[in-house]
Amino acid sequence: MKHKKLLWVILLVLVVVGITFGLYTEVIAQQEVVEYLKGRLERQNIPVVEITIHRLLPLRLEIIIQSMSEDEKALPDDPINLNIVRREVILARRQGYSIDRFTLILYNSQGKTIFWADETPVSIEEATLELPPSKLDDATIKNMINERLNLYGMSIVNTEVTSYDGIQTLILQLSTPSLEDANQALPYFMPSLRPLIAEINTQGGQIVICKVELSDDKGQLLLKYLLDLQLDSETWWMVDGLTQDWFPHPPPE
Amino acid sequence: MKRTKVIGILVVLFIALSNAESALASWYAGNGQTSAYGVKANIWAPSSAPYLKESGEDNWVSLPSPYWVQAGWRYYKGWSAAKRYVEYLTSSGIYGINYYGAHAWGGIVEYRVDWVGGTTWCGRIAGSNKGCYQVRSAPTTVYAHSEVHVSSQNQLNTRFSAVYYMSSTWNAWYLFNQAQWLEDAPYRVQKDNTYYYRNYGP
Repeated sequence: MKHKKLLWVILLVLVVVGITFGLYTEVIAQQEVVEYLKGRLERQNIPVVEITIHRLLPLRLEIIIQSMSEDEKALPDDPINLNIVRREVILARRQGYSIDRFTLILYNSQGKTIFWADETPVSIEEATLELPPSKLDDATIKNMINERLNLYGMSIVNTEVTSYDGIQTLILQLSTPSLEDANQALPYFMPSLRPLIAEINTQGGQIVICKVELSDDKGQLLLKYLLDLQLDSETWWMVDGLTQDWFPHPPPE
Repeated sequence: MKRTKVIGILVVLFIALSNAESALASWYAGNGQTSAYGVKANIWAPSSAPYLKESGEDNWVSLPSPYWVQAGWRYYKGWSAAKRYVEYLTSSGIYGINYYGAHAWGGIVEYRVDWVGGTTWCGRIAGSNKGCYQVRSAPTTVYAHSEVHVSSQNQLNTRFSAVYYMSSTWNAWYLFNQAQWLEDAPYRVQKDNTYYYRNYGP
């Protein structure tokens, strides 16, 4: 009888020790995520102000990055930088860091918040978390894009395809005579990008990121846009007066 | 002489109508509610993909311009399925859309945008909080609309049901009770009720 009791006590102690050890190693591992993310972001020249853990289980982070903006308006590169942070947070799952929720803050040069978001990471299926390598080289993809892209009156300044971290990035630098010409072209051009990339990817490409930079003839930047097919998200900056007729928006005031 | 005049008038009319069509590149249909702290609706999708001549369409609940959080589904030419999304535009000029899987044809999903304090509004899909963004203070006018882009030949057939707004009382939801209808021809609203309607056209 005494033996049985002792066995139960030992079993209980073992279970408690096991759970405590499991939680401890989980906590240590999760704390490493800060260093991991800092390293990844710094390598991509993202000016990180601070990364803090808000909660360990489930893991919640706050990430503050610096904009070069001197007022309350974001700069064209800011949405692109925010997407890099978002990618790293979500793809950290590949390293075993499962982030439940994250707050993303952008400071201007005076330390004022000019962007604040608190997001649940989009859920990416295991199959698309690790993407197979492209079967088409960068030069082939570039030719396919140049041949098939309908520019609706805009012109290509430069097409670039690069491979990094197992994915291909397409950068399109476009030019248009004026804002009015851009406003005629964009409602047709922008929705055509996703199907074109999907078509090339079904033929063996692995374009995950597509960036579009549109300027007018005077060199004035009109649009800086990023489509991320792995996260399934879009983000952009655009000049005042550029048409909104290529994305959902409430009626004008 | 008379015949020349008639032809002339017809030509002018044709040009005017063509310009009107090309000038208007987004058409809206739906209802709104003033002074709200949130909006939610069950947004239906037609039983099969609508015909799209160009571009596409969006069906959503949203805050008004100039800065907004919006949640709904969108479908564009060349897409394999309609996508569920949360979109935002902040006062600093950062736009973003995050997608959260497919909205099935024939499916009904609850989309919601609600205020949680200060200038922060959250976008929710089927009860799940997808993202919160600092965009504007409350209360504000809210909308539950369909939006068609580029071609007025794009087919629209979307029902909105259980369209609610949040009043000043925290977490108290009330059915839309104002007739803030918006109908850009050729799109119309079948107004069964202020909180239950079908946007359709052309």
